[in-house]
Amino acid sequence: MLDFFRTVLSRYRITVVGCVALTLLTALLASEAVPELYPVEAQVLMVEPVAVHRLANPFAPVPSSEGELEGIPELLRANERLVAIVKRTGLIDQWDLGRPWPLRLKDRLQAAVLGPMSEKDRLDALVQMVDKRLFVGVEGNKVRIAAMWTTPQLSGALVDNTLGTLLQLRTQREGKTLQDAAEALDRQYEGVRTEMNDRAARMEAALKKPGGWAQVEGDREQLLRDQSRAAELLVASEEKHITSEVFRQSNTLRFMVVRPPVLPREPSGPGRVTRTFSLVLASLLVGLVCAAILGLASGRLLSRGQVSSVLGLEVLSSVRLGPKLRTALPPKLGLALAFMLSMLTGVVIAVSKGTLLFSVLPPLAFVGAWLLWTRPLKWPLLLLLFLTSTLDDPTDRAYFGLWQSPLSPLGKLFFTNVAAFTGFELAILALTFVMVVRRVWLPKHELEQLDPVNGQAPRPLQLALIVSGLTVGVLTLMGVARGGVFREALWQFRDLLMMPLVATLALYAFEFPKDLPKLFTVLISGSLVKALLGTFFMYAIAFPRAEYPPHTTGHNDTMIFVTAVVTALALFWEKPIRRHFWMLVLWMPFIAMALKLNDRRIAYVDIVIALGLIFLLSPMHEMKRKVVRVAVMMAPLLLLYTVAGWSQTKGRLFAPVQKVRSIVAPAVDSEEESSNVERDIENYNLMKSWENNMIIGQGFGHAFTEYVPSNDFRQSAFGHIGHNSVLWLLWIGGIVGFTFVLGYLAVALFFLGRTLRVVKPWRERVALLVALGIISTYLMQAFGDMGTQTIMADFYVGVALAIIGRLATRANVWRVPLPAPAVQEPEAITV
Amino acid sequence: MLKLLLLSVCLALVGIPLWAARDAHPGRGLKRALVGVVMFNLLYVLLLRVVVPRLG
Repeated sequence: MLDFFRTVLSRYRITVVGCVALTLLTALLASEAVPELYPVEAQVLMVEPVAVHRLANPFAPVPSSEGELEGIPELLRANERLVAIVKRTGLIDQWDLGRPWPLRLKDRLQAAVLGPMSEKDRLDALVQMVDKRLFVGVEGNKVRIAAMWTTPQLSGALVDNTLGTLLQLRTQREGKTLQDAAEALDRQYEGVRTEMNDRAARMEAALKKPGGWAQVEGDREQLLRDQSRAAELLVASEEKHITSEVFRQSNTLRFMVVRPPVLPREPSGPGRVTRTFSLVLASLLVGLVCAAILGLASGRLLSRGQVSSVLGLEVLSSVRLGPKLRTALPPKLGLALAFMLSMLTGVVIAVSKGTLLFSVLPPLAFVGAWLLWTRPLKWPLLLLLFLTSTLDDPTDRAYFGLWQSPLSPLGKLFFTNVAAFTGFELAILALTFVMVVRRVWLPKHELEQLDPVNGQAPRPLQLALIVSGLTVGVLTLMGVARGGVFREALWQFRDLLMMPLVATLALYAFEFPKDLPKLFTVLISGSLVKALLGTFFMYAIAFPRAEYPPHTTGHNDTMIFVTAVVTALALFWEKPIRRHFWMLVLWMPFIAMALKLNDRRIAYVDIVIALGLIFLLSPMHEMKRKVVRVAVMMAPLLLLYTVAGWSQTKGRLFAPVQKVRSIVAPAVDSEEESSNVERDIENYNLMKSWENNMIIGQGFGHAFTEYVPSNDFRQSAFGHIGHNSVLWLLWIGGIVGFTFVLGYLAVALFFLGRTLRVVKPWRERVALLVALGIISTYLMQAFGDMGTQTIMADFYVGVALAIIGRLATRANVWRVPLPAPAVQEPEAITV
Repeated sequence: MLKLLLLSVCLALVGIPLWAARDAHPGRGLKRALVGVVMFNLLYVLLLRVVVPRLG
């Protein structure tokens, strides 16, 4: 590679210098058009002056400041307030202050062509700009106000005005509320006093009549009650008046400006040194990449490496490119690409104000795109699989919100929305695009050198995946047509729709059994990283702080740990050699610790079911015979142990039995039972909702009805996503939709069963058993814990389907009947 | 018991195709698997409508 770069830099030095200069020039010009913004921030702490309240009114409770700051950001950034801020700070008259000259030139041209901008239009434009550059946030009992404008003075004025509005607003709102409450009590007191006076007058009149004493008795009792009520109202009213007065007097104490606004000297973004460094580095990188583009576009072999790999000759002279190098471009196109990259990098440097990461992004993205096009798709898929196993999912409340691992920034990028799709979804869509374009664009012999095009999966499995994707689409259209909200539908169906895409990508990209070692390396190393992070969190972060969170990592990580356990055990089950035994001993403790610390009951159920299926499907080999013998011998002891430990609630001796009981039959007053009750209520609500559309379902975009109230309703996004994904899918799609969406699993398991009966090499058998474990875990997770609503499950099930599809095709189980079982000849009877 | 009934559709989705995979002929086996799953799903509908409400 060095040889290649040396040659291209030497050959195209003038063009490279041109590209570097173009990048620098574009960056400098573009930075002139991007205004410098000066950030100013203030922080206000809100505290209730407890001492003042107690002194003023010892018997009244001190009002709590919790919840009083809700709605403050929306109030301060309401349109009429922004208009007031724009007018008070005089922004209309200072429109041009700090505005870059290209934008001022643009304004002049606009005025010359379309006429001068009216005051109202200018005001609207300024209000929109202030809306984008003024930030008000609440963190606990602190209000943070920040603004960015083209001069420090204007930024400071915006923050000062907003701060003043905050203080005034609270005084008006809170003070008014207290005053209104006091006046309402006063009115009630007056009403009761008036009634008392009237009653007293009636009593006096009645006493003067003969026999009036009987009527007076009833009125006397009511009068006593009214007196007591009047006394209560009087006390309450006095308290409210005092509180209102205290509030008014102590308002200055209530708000403490902990961070006053300070005018900055430098604009936002990196300093001058960093900007210059980023500019120079990005320009040089662009030069390097442009040289590479031109070298590849030339259609010539330019380095020893290229010649020796293609022709097996030493470099004597340059030769014309043969059809093998698939990156040849017309030279003019190569030059055009180089110049476009230079200009794009210059613009990005200017807009990002020289931030290093963004400055080098365009040339690196270009290199990434070239690698994506010229390398097999299995590599980016393996990378995505590793990332999905190791990154923190912020939506899954990783580490109980107590810690952010070093991987959490990447986790936010991949698991949360970046322009309507998550990072993972964008990656999947990009890879799908590359896959489709390659299949359409590249000739077959070139395509085969990149990806294993042939032998992907039996046709029924491919069809079942297509049917699943189409059904999700139809259910979305149906749901929205029935009044559903598309935005809610997107949350509901996105992971279900990604599943057939990921599975198709995996079927296309991986070649099994050749790629099995790479795949399992990624799966196991991902699980180890996750296990280590979880253990570190508990022992180094949570326990030293005297925190004892019930879980470490998220719900969805159960799939990672269960797959690792099943892989370790399946390896030893199929090939009980020393190496596999030591692998089991070395990595199982980490995984077991992670499972224990994460403490999801469903994980144990998943493991038992997966291992049970593996046991049932395996032929009676030596290991199975041993296990059966040991199980038969240990059965009575295990039964005694279980019976003895069933009712025990304390002590570690019977902890495994207690865990089983918490899953199967939890005690009535236990936390597990209350969790079970909530899930039972949700299942009931789902089933009742499903009864309205049993055959074709409701479609996506709706919420199920809460026939019986439950605490879990909020956790299920207010009825849009059920914890029990199986019943939820039944409600969404009816029995027809449910069958079509999950039908590919039945087809895949069919081929898995057939292939397992035929395939002999232990590596392939282990892969199939792991695939079985993944699918069974997916279904259990779907039943118990929103298992269909995670991109991680899509990746895991996707590779499981790829294993099944590829091995089934290789074993030809779709075309060829299974061999008949060998019939043992009866022994000859000798006399 | 109730949980097991609700879970039965997942167990059937796994068990029926694996059982049908034993058939010597692939086409017939796949047909059995798909028909078996569809029939069980219909039975599941009946279970949810009739049996589950009685179990409370």
